[in-house]
Amino acid sequence: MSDELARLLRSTPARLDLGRAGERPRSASALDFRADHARARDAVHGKWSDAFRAELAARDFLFVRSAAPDQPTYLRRPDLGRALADGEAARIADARIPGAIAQVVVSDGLSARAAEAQLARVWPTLVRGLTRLGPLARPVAVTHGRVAIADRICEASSARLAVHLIGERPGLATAESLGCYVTLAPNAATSDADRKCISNIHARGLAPDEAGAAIVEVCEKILRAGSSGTKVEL
Amino acid sequence: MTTLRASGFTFRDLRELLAKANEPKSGDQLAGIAAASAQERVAAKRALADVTLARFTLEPVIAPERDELTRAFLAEQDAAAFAPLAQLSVGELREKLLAGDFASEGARTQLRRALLPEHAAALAKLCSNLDLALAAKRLPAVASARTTLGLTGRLASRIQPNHPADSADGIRAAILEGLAYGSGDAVIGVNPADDRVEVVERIARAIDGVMTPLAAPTQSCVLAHVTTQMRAFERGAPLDLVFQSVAGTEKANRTFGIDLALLDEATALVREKSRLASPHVWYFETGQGSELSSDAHEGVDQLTLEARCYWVARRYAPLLVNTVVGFIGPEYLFDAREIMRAALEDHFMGKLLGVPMGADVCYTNHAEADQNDLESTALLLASAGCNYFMGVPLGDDCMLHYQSTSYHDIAALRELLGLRPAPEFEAWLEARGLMREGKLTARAGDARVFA
Repeated sequence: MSDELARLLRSTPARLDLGRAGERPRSASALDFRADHARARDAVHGKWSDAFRAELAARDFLFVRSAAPDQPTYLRRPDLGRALADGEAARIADARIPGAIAQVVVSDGLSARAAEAQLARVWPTLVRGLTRLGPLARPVAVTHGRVAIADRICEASSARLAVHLIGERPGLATAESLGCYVTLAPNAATSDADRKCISNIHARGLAPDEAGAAIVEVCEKILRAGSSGTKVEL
Repeated sequence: MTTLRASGFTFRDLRELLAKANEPKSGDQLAGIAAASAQERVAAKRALADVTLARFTLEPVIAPERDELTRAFLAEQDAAAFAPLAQLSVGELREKLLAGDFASEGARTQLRRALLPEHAAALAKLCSNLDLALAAKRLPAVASARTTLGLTGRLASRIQPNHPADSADGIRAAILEGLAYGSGDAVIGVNPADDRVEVVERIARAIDGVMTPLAAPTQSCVLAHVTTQMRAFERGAPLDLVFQSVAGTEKANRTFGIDLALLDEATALVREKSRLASPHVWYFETGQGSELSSDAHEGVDQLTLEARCYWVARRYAPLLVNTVVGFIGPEYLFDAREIMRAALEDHFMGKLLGVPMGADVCYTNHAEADQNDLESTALLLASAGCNYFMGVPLGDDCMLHYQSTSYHDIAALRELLGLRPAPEFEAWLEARGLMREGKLTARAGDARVFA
């Protein structure tokens, strides 16, 4: 059993087998926890680096801003994070590619480090797979974005599918987890029940090398079903 | 509809009054319905104290024509039980509750049948934190399946052994350790990262593979979307409870992909297919702010909508209901002070309406809160008689990326307040040598004891 238990313990990042001081955690594990919380707090308040912005530019991303002017407002006002700043929809529409099958959007979300850490490994298989389905809209990068801002972007570009990669709320095990939301033909009436989500894209979750293919598979099923809502079985 | 007045302020209708009478919450501010000043807030509370309970029946905060929950509340309210209370004011009912007027089980049952969720919300708005704790303590709500939950002097817990990639081995490791710490008497419940039915079945088998050989008296649950779980039950997955998140408006529930008809259908199916002999097959989660988050709040404040969730939950005789207070983020509950207040409000309203109420006391990393705040709130709720908390390895959920209470915290709260696990589970812990006279033994806390 203890060999078996050791094997089980190796398969999870959960904080297990760390002992106890009476009913409380031991000192080292309590402090490790605090250190990880401190890292997550710092990630929430982080920004994309200049190097990452250059990487996005090299991939031909169009940079847009949400209606949230700064990070404190972004945290308190999700409605602003779901809306584009004035004039941004027109810039996206100007870059429109007729008959685009998918609009890829990348947002900082609640951890700018997530896209920065994972995108380079997700990107090649994602783009290769989506290109098989049809032409792609010019990709869009958003600062201070929430999930539903991809609906507004996809409306402006008239693509069939919104594929939104967004930094998830940092946890203690990782502050670099990326989520992906796929929505078919989003419009003003779209709700969260109309999306499919592939979450936990990071080194110890869904491996970023495999995530691109997983997202493409979900997109194909959604296109076949003609819906991305809860009734579509994946 | 007549306007309401107090201290020089005027309120258009009951909906506006209820919103302005709330303690400060970032979510009500975000919705643009909060009181504009501290004095306006107190004036709203004063005006609310004088409103009769009858007015809530006459003036639903969401019109029945646009909301199936309102229609169900009004149709299913017990008119005979309500009649003797109808002319009481909210302020008078608060005093009766605090004076212990509903101490007998019969009186409690009548009260619960009489009240609408909006009554529960109105009362919460007139109560201080200590009022909420004391009143809730006097309103126990017990439900049982393999374990009996909510008995006075008991504190149960859910083992929440989530894994970022749904690894069966990782899930098993976390369950074994949780059991070794005396956690898990409420449920062993996994949130899957992947909502597909075959994943739900695989996780169900992982839970069963620990629970059944050890004969641990508890319940299993995989918290996928209800429609996915229904398919898993139909395919014979070894599951006990069915789970769903619920919201307080018809519109918000539609964004969750549910309505009352679907919950009715799931109830019938799961009562037939569940391994439990008990009719209490539901596990619901709620949390202030989810309606606003899905743009479906209908102009109603988040506390009132939360009360409506408990009424929905009660309709299905659940075993477990908990608010996930602090999960939703700072735009609804800004900091530790707002989270603590909401935790006490939610627990009180659930218990008042007869819901066997637990709590996921938690916070996210973008909220102004930390582990110290979480521990303080858990201590308050445990002293108020909360049925159960979460047990997460060291409080760090490595899949959902938030912090909750830990196996250690459950043990510490029991020790501090002299609380014991559910009786069936305590007997099992004693038989395994993990607990003696309500205290963990030296061998507890190490999964190797199950070798």
